[in-house]
This record gives sequence, structure tokens and C-alpha cells, in this order.
Amino acid sequence: MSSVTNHDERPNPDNLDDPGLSETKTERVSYLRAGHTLRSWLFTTDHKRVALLYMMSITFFFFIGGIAAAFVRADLLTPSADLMTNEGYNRAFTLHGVIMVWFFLIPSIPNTFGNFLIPLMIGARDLAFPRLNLLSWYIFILGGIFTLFVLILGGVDTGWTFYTPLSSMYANGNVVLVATAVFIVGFSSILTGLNFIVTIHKLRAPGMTWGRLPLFIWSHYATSVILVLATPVLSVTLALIAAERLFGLGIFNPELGGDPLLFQHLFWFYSHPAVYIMVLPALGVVSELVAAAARKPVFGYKFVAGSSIAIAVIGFLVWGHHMFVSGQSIYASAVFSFLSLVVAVPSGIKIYNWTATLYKGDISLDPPFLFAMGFIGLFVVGGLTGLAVAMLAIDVHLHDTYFVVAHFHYIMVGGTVSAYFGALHFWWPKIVGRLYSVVWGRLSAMFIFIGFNFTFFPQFILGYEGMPRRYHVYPEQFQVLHDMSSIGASILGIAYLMPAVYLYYSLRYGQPAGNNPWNVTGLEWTIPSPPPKHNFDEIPTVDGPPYNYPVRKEAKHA
Amino acid sequence: MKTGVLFSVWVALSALLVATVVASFFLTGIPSLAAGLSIASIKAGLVFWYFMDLRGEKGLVRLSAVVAILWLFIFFLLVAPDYLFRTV
Amino acid sequence: MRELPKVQTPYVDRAQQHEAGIMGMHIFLASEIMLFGGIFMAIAVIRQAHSQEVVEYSKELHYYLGAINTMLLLTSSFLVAAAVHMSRHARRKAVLALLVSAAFLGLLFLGLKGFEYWSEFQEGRLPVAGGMEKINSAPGRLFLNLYLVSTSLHAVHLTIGVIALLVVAGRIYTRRSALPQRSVVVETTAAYWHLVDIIWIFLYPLLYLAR
Repeated sequence: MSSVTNHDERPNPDNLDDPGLSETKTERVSYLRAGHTLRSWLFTTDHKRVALLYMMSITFFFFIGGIAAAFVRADLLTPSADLMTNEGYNRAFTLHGVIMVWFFLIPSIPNTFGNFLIPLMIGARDLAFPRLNLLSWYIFILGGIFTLFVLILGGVDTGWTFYTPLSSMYANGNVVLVATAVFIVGFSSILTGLNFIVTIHKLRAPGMTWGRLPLFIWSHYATSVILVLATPVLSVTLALIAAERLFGLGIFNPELGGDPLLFQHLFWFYSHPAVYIMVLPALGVVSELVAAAARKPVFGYKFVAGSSIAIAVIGFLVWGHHMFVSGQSIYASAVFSFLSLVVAVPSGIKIYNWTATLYKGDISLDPPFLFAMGFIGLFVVGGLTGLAVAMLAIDVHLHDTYFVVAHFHYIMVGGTVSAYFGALHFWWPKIVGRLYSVVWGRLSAMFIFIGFNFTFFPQFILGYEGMPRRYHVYPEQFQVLHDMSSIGASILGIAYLMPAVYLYYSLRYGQPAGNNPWNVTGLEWTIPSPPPKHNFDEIPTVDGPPYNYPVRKEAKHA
Repeated sequence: MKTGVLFSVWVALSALLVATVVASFFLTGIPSLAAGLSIASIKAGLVFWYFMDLRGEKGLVRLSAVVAILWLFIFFLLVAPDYLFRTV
Repeated sequence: MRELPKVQTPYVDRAQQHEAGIMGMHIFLASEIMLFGGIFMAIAVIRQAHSQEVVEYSKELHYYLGAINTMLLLTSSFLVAAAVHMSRHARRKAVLALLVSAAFLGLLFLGLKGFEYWSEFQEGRLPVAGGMEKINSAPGRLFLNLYLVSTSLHAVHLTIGVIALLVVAGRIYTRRSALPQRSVVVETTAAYWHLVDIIWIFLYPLLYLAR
């Protein structure tokens, strides 16, 4: 540490023999050392640096959202309202939802790992529009500042869904400001999606045909399509909410001839596909981790790739399943219920193909693999309970209960956040060029899995027994399960902090990773870790399928 | 593309504008709406195809230009059963 | 940004850079279509729920002013399309003249739209404070609200379009964008302008000609 604070001993970036903080020559010519000033980071157009800017920002918002969740869980320890007022509780869970959805989950994997890896995986020097990429980060930060501003002003109490007429007429909080924040951050999503689509179409290296793309790329392509086509609908909906509040527009107000359900149609036309924005990149990550762990070609590559596209398309057709008890036409509900069952098929294809890929693979229990296994288990539970609430009759019983809360946390937290940590542990040596402690990695994967189930499994039972969501005063019979959930949340919280410690430690004391520490395939592993500024000295030519691992013949037993 | 073609398209668009205004004098209700929307679609098609020069672009660009229209169609298609059959 | 002899960073050659630019613009336009899609959905729902009031209040709008404005936009789109054609043939002066006249027509549109708002305000048919004494029914007011929201959102886009046309004209005038090598900046701006035109093509019959 002392060498950092002493300015006379700062490394000279132009002198490659000056060791400075770096241990290897690779590090000295990497993107991390290409410019040391704050300016060189804040005005960078290097996709790898923008990815790190995003990583730092969303980690910050993850903490803020986590603190809000901690308040919620602490208040739920007892059946009475002892920590927060009703209003305060509403504001805490709204803040948790808004920040976690738009400032962590949506940008989480695409804007960090997608940004970092898409050009590396397809053999390009950067994204198609590098300056647009940086602009999208600035827009994200602007939206974030608005959100923090709202936090200081006292928050908002509508829930992350902004349902009308609560949000448009009755809510006391800063609805317009929060709507503005989400409106702004939406443009960041659109620009990211646009950039990814054009990059994947136009910048693939020679020989990198669609059938040779890593599955991570396929899932990010599907995600980008949703980002571009769904996000604008949210933007206009939020603008209408703001106009409704400020000018009494009336479009969502039945007294003025409007229709509150129109809001729900518009909102869920974005927000259901948004769930797939959150989980599709995670599915892509897990495809990579599973193939790397098994060291086998992915079973049914075309089906896994195609199922990403299928999820993106069918995911647009199911939004009405959020509205079964809202008073929408029963015929519409029936159609949406059927389509919601259909969307489970491509998700199922992925699970089966991952399992088949792992069958007789050379599996080593590395941290990325453990996170991937955690993902698969939690995603299956979340997916199957999703089928339950997609059934019209069952949903009448379970709608707006903790069952739904547990269901979507299994997908978004158990699924996406596990995959995010899996990606972090898999590509960390590539991003920073250092190895971390594998033992601690395994431990944190296990603690996250245990803590997560401890937190959210009791919520399935709570919901099934009738505990509604968004209430902090509840009958005493629910206290045991609520307390289990809150204790689990503390375990989960600590488990989430563990990687911060050993990954930070690895930055300083980790061994240099080498090009390919996991001994896996993929263009990103053919270049030095951390990569040089322009990724590839020569644009590579691809001449084989992805995941081209040697197939091991089964040993004959005498 | 010749500017003469562009000019003919402009003439066609102007004629269609007159057609849509005239139609509004004679038609009411669903026929009026249908006439207005079909004429608008033809005009939009002309602008897309000739002015935006999609006829000179590759399939990929054409696809990215029309995909949003397809998606909007899906949106309207799936919202329709709710508004047409809602009983409350 | 200077016009460099070589292509910019991630690209291998100029054709690739050109195609990426065109495709990026079309994807952006797709997101614009979805943005207005939400408004069109709201118009459709109101039309279905209150068709009588919608027709009644639509008849009071100045359809001929809307028609003139449609004509202005169609003509400007023609000029912009011609500018694209000229830019591919490096007809620098023609491109400049066409872009500037298209921008001028855009400004005329905005001026006429402003006059229209003003006269509606005078007549008491604009749903803003002090301008709605003639609006008697809630659904009628809702329809006019949507009219105001959608036309003003369109006007915002048109304003951006006018600025974009003038910026591109400026770049060509100062030769910072050389033709025909950088015709992509004309093409992408033109595509945006055409889309703003197309949105108006749909708004016009839905708002002014509901009968």
C-alpha cells in the first residue's frame, strides 16, 4: 500500500521495465495500465474500461438496494410495526425494488460482462459504437443521481410497479422524480442493446459464423433485442404517469374516462420481457460455465442458442399473466396463461442440455462451476413455481402473496445474482490478470446458496398460507417463518460480502493468471490477461466450432 | 436511384393525402378508421421503401426497420382480447 | 472528429463502418417506433372506449392545417431523400441546398403547429389552463390531452430532426464530413427524418380525421 501513496514511486507508464505495481510485462501493456489518470477512465471509449465503470457503479447500487432490503427484513422480525412506520416500510421496499431492478439487475451482466466479453469473444477490437457505449454509462449515472436524490428527499411509496391510480393520484412520494430516473436509465439500456446488436452482426471475426458463436453471445443478442424493443414502451408509460400526476392527463383515471388497466398493459409489456433481460444473460453465463466445467462440447448447441431467441420472442407474449386478478377479460387471461406455459419449454431445453453436457464430463469443483450448479437448482425451483402462478385458478390464491415474492427472487436473485457471481469468479482472472483463492470462492458459492434458500424458501410457505406481500404487520402465526427468512437474509448478506474481500486481496497479492487459467476454449482465453488495449494484435480467424474440446473415449474396463 | 423516381413517389404521397382527407368527408365509423389507417400504411410503406431506400438495402437492414412494426402488431393483437371482451 | 484517412477503431474497412452506422440508426428507429407505440395504444383504447366523443372533438380540430403540415413534411422528406441521392454522387452544393430547405420546411411545420395550438387556445379547445372553456366532457378532454401529448412529442422529435439536418449541413459545408465517403451521416439523419414523417402520417388521420 505504501508504494501507492508515495507519489515519487509511481510507476512510469512509458517505461515497460519499470515494475511499479505490476508483476508481469503483460500487465504493463494491458488496458488497465493504458493511462493512469482519472480522465483516462472517465473519458475512455475502451469497452473493457467502460465495463469496469459499470461494475463499480452497479456494485454501489447493489449495496444501497441491499441496505433497503435489510431494513425490510429487520422490520419483519416481529409481527408489529416496530422499526418503521407504514409509510416508511412502503418506501423501503419500493426503493429496494426500483434500485435492484433498474440499477442492478437489468445492467448487471450485460453492461459488465457483456461489455467486457462480447468484443473479446467474437474477435473484435471494440463494440461497434465505442462513444455511444461511454455515453450509455453517463446516462446510467445521471439516472442514478436522480434516484439518490429521491432517496435524500424521502423516497417513494408506490412499489417498483408504479400501479395506477395509486401512483398517479394518491401516492405522496416523489413519483415524478423516480419516474424520471427510470426514464433516463432506460435510454442507457436502449443504447447498450443497440450497440450489442450491431456489434454481433457486423464485427464478428472472419470465420466466426453464427453457428460458431459462444452461447454467451447468443443470449446477449436475445437480451439486446428485448432491450431495444421493450424499454421505449416503459419510457413512454413513465412519461404518461408523470403527465398524469403533473397535469391530470386522465389516461389512467377512470373518472376522466381513462383506464387504469391500460397502465398495467403498457407497464408489463416492458416489465415482463424485462425479467428475461435479467435472466437471459445469466443463462448465457451458465452455458459458458457448464461447458467449461464439463470440458465437453455443449450438448445440443443449436437448441441452446435457439432457445435464447425463443425465450426473447415468447417472453413478449406473456405479460398479461401479471393481470389475472386485475379485472382483465377472462379470455385474455386464458391466452396469456397458455403462452406463459409455452415459455417454460425453451427454458426447460436449456436445463436438460446443460445436464446432458455435464454427463460424464471432466468436472472439477471450481467456484464458477459451484455457482452454475447453484444457479441451475434455484432457477429450476423459480421456474416451476412460475408455472404454478401461471395457472389461472392457482394464481387467484397465490396472487400478491409471498409465494410470488419467493418465485421471482428465485429467478432474479437465486438465478441472476448467482450467475453474476459465477461470471465474476470465472472471468475475474481475465479481467484483472490475477488468480484469487479458490477455497474462498467455493465457500462463498456455498454460503450464497445456503443463505439464499434459508431466506426465500420459507416465503413460499408463507405465501401459500396466505401472507400477502408488502405488509409489515402480520398475524403471529407467520413469525417463525419470517424470522427464518430474516436470519437467512443475514447469512446471504455476509456471503455476498465475502467475494469483495478475497477478490480485492487477489488484486494485490494474487498470482498472475496467464492467458488461460481454466484451460478452456474461447477467443477471450487466447489473449493475455488482462487483455491489451486493442484486444487482438491481429484479428483472429476462426476455423472450428465453439467448445471444441477433445472428446474422451470411454475407458474399457476389463 | 433517380430523383425522378423520388419525385413520382412524392406525387403519389400527395395524392394519397388528398385521398385520406376526401375519404374522411364521406366515411364514418369503422370504414373511416380502416380507410385512414390503410392509406397511412401505404404512405408509410412508400416512405420506407423509396425515401428510406429500403429497396436498395440488404435484408438485414430491412428486417431491423420492420421488426418494431411486427412487435407493435403483437402488442395490439394481445391487448385486443382484453378490451374487446372485458365484462367489468 | 476529423475525417481520418483510415477507418475508426473497431472497424476493418469503410464498408463495414458504413453498414454498422446504417444498421445502428435503423435499430434506434425501431426503439422510436415502440416509444410512439405506447401513445398509439393509448389512442386506440380511448377511441374504442369513447368513440362518440373522440369523433365529436376530432371534428373541431383544424384538419386543413394538419393537411398542410402533412404536405410540408412529405415534401421535406422528398428533399431529404434527394439529398441522400446527391450525397452518394458527391454533389456537395445540391446536398447543402436540399438539407437546408428540408430543415426550413420543418421549421415551417413547427411554426404552423404553434399557430394551430394558439388558435385552439383562443377558441377554448386546448386542454391547458385557461384554454378549455369549450371542453365539456371528460372523454373529450382526454382525447384532446392525447392530441396535445402526441403532437408535442412529435414536435420535440421534429425539432431534434431540424437540428440534426442543420448540423449535418454544417459538417458538409465545413468539409468535416467529406462526400461521398461520409454519406452515411446524411443517410442516417435522413432515415430519422423519414421516421418522424411516418409517425405524423399515422397521427394525422387518427387525431384529425376521426369520423
